[in-house]
Amino acid sequence: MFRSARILLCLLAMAPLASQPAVSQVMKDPPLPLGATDAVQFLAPTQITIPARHPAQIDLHFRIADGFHINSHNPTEKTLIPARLAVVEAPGLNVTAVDFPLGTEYAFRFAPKEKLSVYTGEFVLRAHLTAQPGEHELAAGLHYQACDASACMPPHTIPVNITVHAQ
Amino acid sequence: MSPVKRNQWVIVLVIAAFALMVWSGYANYKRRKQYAQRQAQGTLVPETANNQSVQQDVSADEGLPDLRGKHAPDFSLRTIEGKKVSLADYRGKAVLINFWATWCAPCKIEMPWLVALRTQYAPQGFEILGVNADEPGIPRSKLIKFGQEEGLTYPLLVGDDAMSRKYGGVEFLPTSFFVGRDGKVVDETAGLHSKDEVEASIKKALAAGAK
Repeated sequence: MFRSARILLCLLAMAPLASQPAVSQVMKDPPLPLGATDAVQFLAPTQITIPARHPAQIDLHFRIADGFHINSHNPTEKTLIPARLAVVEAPGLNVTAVDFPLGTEYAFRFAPKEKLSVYTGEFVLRAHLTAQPGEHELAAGLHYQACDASACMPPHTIPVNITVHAQ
Repeated sequence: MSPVKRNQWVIVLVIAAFALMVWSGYANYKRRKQYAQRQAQGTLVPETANNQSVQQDVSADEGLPDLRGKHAPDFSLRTIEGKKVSLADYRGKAVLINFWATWCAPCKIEMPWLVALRTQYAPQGFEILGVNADEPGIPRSKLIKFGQEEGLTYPLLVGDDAMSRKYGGVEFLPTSFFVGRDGKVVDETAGLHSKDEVEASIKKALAAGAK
């Protein structure tokens, strides 16, 4: 009898644990849910060799997480935030221009006629630069604003760091 | 009661407790599965680090802190014209607290719906408070111009971190909280929903606490 009562008490004590809100548990445990921080990822290159004192190009590869898009460099509306690359000036290294790809059309549901210009999946920016002989650190930041199929995240900047060997 | 009969009662209770555990475990599993599916679809959810001031559960539907059934946290903000406004000013009315930003494309899609719904339901005691979530320091003139260009007729408030933390951090836009006449949150949505869904939530807010 007493053994049965002890088992009963144990089971009753455990019941509330089993009925905790599931999502709260998920939210507390790593990994963190996808946020603006990881909606876009800089893939490559991390280092590159170019001829010194000659115009050169670097293709910067980025990946946007599945289900997300970011505004292209030329969004269809002036209030939308375009994708931009900000480059930190460094002695001996001069980024003269950055080429952005054309965006693809995208429309949110409930507004199929309102077309946006966005990037999805992988995209490539082409940076034009010249460098003096030596090793340089190209420090830049991709500024973007990401959305999924129904909601948007605040604008965000991710770092783009490349070691440039000019010889 | 004889010892045999008492033991039978204990066995029945043990079985009942076991059944309760199985049921809650299954419910737990179902909610986890739904949440994982939503994650896999790339649905935006808030980062927990920004939600630490909020102790609510998380709504399984939206990844939002679940304020439903609770009193809407009070706040006091300025309109884009500079007038002080508190949620308490609207006591007895159904209120839609709609977080938006100038850069938010889906927010712009729902704005004309909100204007129309406000016109339709204002006579019944409905109001919309549009809380701006642009970066702090955005010139008010820019917000006023935006409001004029979009034809927004409801009060536009300049949001701040303290206020948005009360509503779970509001990491994604648009986000809406529907507050009943009794001051309790009856519904909450994150992301763009259909006009019909918005209207249904407004009706729910109007019905809540109605005398």
